[in-house]
Amino acid sequence: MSIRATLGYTFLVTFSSAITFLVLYHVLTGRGEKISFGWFLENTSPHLWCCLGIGLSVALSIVGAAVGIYTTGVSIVGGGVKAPRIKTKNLISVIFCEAVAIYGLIIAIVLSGYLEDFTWELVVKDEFLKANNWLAGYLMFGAGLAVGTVNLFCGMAIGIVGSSAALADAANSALFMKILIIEIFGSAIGLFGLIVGIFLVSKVKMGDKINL
Amino acid sequence: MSVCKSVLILISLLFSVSLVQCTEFVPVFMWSSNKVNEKVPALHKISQDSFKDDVLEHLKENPFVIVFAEQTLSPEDFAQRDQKGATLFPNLEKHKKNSKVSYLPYVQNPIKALKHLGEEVTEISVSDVTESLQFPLTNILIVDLNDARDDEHRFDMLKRHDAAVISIYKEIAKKHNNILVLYTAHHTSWVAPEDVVSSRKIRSLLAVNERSVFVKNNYSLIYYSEASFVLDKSLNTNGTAVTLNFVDEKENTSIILTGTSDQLQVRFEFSSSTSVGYWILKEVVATYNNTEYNLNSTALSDIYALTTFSYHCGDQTFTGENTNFELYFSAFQVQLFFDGIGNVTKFSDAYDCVGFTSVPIWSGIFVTAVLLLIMTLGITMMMDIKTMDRFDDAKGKTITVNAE
Repeated sequence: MSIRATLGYTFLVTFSSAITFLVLYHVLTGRGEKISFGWFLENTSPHLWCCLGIGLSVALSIVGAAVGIYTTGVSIVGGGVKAPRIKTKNLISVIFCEAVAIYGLIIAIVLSGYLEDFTWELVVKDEFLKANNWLAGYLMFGAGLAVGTVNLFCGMAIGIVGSSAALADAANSALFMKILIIEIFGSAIGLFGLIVGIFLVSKVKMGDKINL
Repeated sequence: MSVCKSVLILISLLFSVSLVQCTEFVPVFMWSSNKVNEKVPALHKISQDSFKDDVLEHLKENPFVIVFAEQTLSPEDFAQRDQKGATLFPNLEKHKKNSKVSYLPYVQNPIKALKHLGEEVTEISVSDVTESLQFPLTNILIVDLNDARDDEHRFDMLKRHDAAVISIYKEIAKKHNNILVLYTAHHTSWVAPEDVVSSRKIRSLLAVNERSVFVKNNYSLIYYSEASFVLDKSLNTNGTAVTLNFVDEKENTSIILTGTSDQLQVRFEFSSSTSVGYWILKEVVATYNNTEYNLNSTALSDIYALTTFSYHCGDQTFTGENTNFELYFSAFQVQLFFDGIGNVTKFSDAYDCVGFTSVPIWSGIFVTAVLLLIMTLGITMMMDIKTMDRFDDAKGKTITVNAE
């Protein structure tokens, strides 16, 4: 059996047996109420969610861009051996992938700007402050996750299309301009993620003193 | 082939299990009233047969053999020291200075060896030994030290047995002048035998010490131990110990527990109206010398449980935000019955104030899971990289590149 299948089976069996055991223990002793996601969400610090959002936004965007660039780059280099004219024109696919990475970076910088510190004792007692700080945490996590995953898949899409565009261009140079339209659509979806992220973080208010 | 393998494994398992069961090495501490040439044991672990030969050598003098048999003993017990640093066997230690003592740390089944010597053996229990007991006229007397009490620690029991051994020896020494005494055990301390009742080493759960109180009322069960209070916690003085008697009363959806002692009165208000199926401690008020101290704080919101569970905390403190009064219990367990207590006498399972996993642990698990997922995806992608071999042709022309 291949190593991937072995790993997959091991992970699946361990995971499902652990989950079954824990679930049965809680159900059979009547402690089901102790598994409380509300308790977890309410007691975790908003900073956890903020930092996760920031990290995910930049990291996943970069992964998407990297996947796109290597897919395209390999094809350009390979096709360029026999048809050197394609190399300059096809760099535009690489630039589209790079744009995806820049979206992620912008959101990460914006989110870091909104990240503020607060004193735990003060905020936990005041309902308004607590609501806003916790909201800020979840907003930043959501924005980061949204932008990150959108850019991840956008980058992958642009990469595959760009690679085929390079090879088609090498075969027949009239095809390139039409194929570029497909890439533009692929890049537009990355922009959607950026817009949603910006909308989400516009409501963020963190800190000890929040004015309405 | 696989049948052979499984049979082999089964046989080796049974062999090793039987090996474990019969190799028990217990220490033997022996001395004789006649000073004879004691042989130094040659081997570290002495088998049953060589111990039998050794005892037969001693029996040539026809002494009266008395064996004090603990239930369990091991060489570590002789090395153990109690809290003051004194040995557990002070009398035996003193006796070592007076007569020649021979200590064999690992002897295999000494009691069985003695029983197989072919001499007459009588076995009595140490609780039967009284002042007026006529020691039976056998050659070998085994006194079983099997009178362990439920609530004593092992080292207290060993100390007591040590005093008993020496006192019995002194009694017998007055009557006989040729005695061989052995202090040994039936089993080692650290391997639990299945069919012999070993001395209890664990304090029984319901044994309460003087400062712990368990009260059953109409609507509640409460247990606490070592209650104390400080009037001003910034002074860092020791708390004043107090014993509280609890009574309860029910008002609509809350139960009020009032604890009174001669100086201090504490009132706990538990309410079940905040959330269905749960009760929560809403208010704590302490009255001392006619002054009321309000002990409410945000920590009170952690004291809750389902109505079918109890709440337990070791180290429970009640302190107010605006006062310096502090009430402390070293153990605190309470269970409320909003429909009347009925026949219940025991606590249900407890919601503990210190949970098994805390929020930081769960945060760490969550973030680690995210990172592991990412790493798994990365490794899967890397394992997917394959060399392009579509156009490989072992017999074809190799590619030539003109480099100019």
